[in-house]
Amino acid sequence: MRKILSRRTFLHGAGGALIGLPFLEEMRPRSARAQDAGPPMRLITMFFGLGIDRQESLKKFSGPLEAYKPFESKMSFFTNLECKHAHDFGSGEPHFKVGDVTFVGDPQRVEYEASGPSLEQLVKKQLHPDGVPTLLGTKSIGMWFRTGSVSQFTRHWNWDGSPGERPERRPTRIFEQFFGGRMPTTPGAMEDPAAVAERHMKRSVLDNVIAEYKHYTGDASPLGADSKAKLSVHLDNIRNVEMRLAPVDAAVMDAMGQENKNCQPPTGVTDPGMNVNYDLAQGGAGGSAPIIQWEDFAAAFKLQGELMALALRCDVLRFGSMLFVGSGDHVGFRGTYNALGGSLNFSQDLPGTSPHDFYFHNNKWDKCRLHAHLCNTNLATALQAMDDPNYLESNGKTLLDNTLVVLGTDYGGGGTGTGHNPDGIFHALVGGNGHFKPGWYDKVYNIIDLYDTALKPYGVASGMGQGRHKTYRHKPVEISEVLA
Amino acid sequence: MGTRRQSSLTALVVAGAVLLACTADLTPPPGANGPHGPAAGAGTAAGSGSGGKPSNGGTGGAPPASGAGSGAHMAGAPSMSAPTVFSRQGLAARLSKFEYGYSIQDVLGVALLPAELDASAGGIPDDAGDGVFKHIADKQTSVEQHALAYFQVAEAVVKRVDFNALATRLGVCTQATAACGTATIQAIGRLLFRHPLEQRQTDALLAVFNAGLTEKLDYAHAMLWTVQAMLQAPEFLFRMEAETASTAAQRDLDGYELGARLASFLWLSVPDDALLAAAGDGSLLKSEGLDAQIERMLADPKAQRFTEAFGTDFSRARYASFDGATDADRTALNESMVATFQDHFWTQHGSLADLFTTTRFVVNPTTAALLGLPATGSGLQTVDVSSLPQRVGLLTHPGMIAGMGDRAIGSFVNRGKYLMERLLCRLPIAVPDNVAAMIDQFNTDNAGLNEREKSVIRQGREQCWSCHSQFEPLSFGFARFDGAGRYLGETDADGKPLALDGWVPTDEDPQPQYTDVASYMKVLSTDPMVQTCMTEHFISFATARSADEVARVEAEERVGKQYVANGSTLSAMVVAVAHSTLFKTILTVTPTTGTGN
Repeated sequence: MRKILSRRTFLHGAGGALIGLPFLEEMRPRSARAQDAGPPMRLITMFFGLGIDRQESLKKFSGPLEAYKPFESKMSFFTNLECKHAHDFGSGEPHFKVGDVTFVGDPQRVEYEASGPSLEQLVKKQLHPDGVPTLLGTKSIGMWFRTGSVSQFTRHWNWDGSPGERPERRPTRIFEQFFGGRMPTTPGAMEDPAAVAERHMKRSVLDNVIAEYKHYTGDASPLGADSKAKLSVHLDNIRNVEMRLAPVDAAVMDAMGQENKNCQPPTGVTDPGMNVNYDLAQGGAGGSAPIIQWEDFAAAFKLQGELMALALRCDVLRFGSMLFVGSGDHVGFRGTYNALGGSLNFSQDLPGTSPHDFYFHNNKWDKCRLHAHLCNTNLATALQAMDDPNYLESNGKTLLDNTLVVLGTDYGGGGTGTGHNPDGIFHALVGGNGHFKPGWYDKVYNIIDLYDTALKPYGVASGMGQGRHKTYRHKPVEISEVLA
Repeated sequence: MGTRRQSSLTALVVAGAVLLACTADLTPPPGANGPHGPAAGAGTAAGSGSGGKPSNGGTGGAPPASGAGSGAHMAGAPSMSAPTVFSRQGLAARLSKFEYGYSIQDVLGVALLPAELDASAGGIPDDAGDGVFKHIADKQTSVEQHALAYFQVAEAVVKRVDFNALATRLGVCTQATAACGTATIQAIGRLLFRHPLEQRQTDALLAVFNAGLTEKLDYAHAMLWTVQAMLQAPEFLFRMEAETASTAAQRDLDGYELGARLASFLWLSVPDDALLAAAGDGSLLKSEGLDAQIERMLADPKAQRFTEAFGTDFSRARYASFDGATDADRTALNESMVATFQDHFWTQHGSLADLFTTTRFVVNPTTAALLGLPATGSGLQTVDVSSLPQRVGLLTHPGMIAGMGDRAIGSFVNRGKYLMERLLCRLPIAVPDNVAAMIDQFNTDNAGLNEREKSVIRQGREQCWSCHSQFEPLSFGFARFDGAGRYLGETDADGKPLALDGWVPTDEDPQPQYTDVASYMKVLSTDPMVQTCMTEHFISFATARSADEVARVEAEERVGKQYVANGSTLSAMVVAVAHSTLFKTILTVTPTTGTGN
């Protein structure tokens, strides 16, 4: 007996606009997961802009990082990373250079172009070379508002170093992309033969398309290396969405036979903030910095974090990135933010400017620490959503426990008067399936070594610093002390 | 790999470049950088060179006395010898949105809906482009939305196709049999893929058709799924050429490859039957055969697409972001701008030089109002703007001016960068590490000054002017136009004079000077470097590749001369480009294994 496949797997809006991307609860392709020993490997990167001074990081939970206190037993804090190679071998404006290296490791190849894939893309392809078994391959979401240069906001870099998806801001759109078109099922009903036929034809179409891309990216291709790589990235993207577009029979059948109590999406969400222009494309610094009430910004990010956690629990995706302000932070916040016994009076400080311009470049380090507090406190809300004990996974642990979150930022300088120096950088490994020893690590480590070490327990070699960038080679040094 | 890698000849980075560092006006217009494209200051660094330093502070100053501030064609670039091979390695070029839509329309008879090309509605993502044109193959990236949208748009499109009627038009049978499926696949595939299908391709697509028959579908419905696969195939979505050979060498494109380039260039589409026939019988490879096809294609209404796309990208009017700009304004500005360019091309049979001196604009109510002309009704009308102050040439069309920058008054930096890319084919130069701090300080120190006054300050700072001299003088002549292209008068709001004098930072010694818009445009209409750059734009558009040194030499040494020999009309330019070695050949490379990653 096959349950009914409720209806078409996609929705078209009025006038042909494509408004609904598919999510059918019963289509969650859990065959692969069911065969696994436990929860799947997931990797999420989380970024905040404008950095945190090392002296502030060293205050641990008495400073800007105080919101991470509840996760103390799940976090490995690194307070003294360096990536001088970003400055020595990369090109461009400093926040972007270091921002571009964050989660990529290698210095950017040319202005605003990475030298390789970001961590989540790297792991995704190595663990799932023939395509992910989830509805989405990856998703970038976040709150940020400066569109001038792609390195400011993009934390998803393709295998060829080209920028991936820019982070989606609007929560309702994120919800739609994660869960759009989800329809209730009728337990025990027969599957609609027409729906089965349609699914088979879609699969046939995709099989044909994928085979053609394989031909043109394979050894028999008449194309040169650059063209093959270009088509290869497109093929990766097809594979990342193929389960969403045309799930295979086995995945559907398997999913219909299971119930995921941790996956209970609401029927919809509402975008926080009455006056938030989520779709704003504005590139300005200084007086052109986009203006937004910080509470609205934070509320939107909190909802984004909840949606990301829900999507991970539903196994809609396993890889993604989140962003709380882009590199440098050029958002013209409004309102007043109080923390650590101090106050950021954005409304008074920032008209005509931004945290980057007014706080950072005016050496107002007491304000920068509060800005770092704002960022990290909000990232902690995303971690909290993933650490909900009401949704324990099959191994009795939380989603956060079973997910590797690599949390990082661009700069560590500031309070020491060093400004844009590529050292003293803060990162943290969170969750990580028990592979890492929680604690504080203030030794100087190269950022590539952190990434390499983080991926080692998962059997993934990053390849960073090993020749992708023609002018930079790194001698790897494992950070063995953090490995459990 | 390096799909967006610059040519080694053009990727010249000169240390110490301090471009765009001395102003607050670094903001790109909304949407100007596509989904992820670099915006102001982005892109590969070009050279610097030492700029001219003015001798007075009241006007734009004097140009450098001996060609300083430039280098070779690329400012600051070391002297380069001309390439000995006028050809490039191939690179798969993904169809632009224009090409994607027009190809489907021409083959399947179905027009795409606006939402299907609207990235924000889940449609096809935008291309980033190179600062001038959007469809540049070496600037394309790929994200998951490409895969999603190509699937979903194809799915929607095929439902609007009458496959039985299409079969009748193609002369193929419509029974639910493998024979009819094969015939249809070969007929449609030849058009969509721009060449006859290989047996491998036919077999693979027939497997989709047969899967439909297995599901008890009739001919039309089985073909619906088959064409859905075709519309996502690399052979359709990417214009590809055989790039490899046992030895690297220049080779002529074969007939189908050349036909595909020609259709992409002139029709923004795939070849039609006649062009495919000429490709197949080899006549297209002969000079007279190529001429015959170009003449036929230019006479076809589909050639209007070329001038529409060229004018749209070149002006960037659709990204106008002056204070108060609305979507309706942007649409109207682009419409008027494109109509003016098309009038010049198709009706006036004008030349490159005439583009800079024409006073014949095609206006709609929006542009008429910006020009200060009385309302002209609801449609497009041709007007003579010679009586209007400082209106000479297409560059003074409100659509062009509005596309230059993002501020009400018009940033000299943004305008200069825009004009540098379009008039001198120089690339944006890397911003310095401390640009943000410099901007902050500059803003603080110079609040209340107008653009010209700020520029004068930059001219007095070597670290600024060494690079700004390469582009800012291009914007001086536009000082009396606001961000929407309105004429402001001879003084600004504070009563300070708005000087127009300046110079064109070319490679010449001395650099040509101008005193007002008319003399400025006169310089542009005759300057060899500007004319060469404009020629490069046509080559870039035709080949879907960023302008580089190879294109410059091809433009300067061959295409430009052929254009003059052909009569110096824009149509003559098209013919010259299509006959160029760069357009008709490819540099092969030795095969690689694997995916190239």
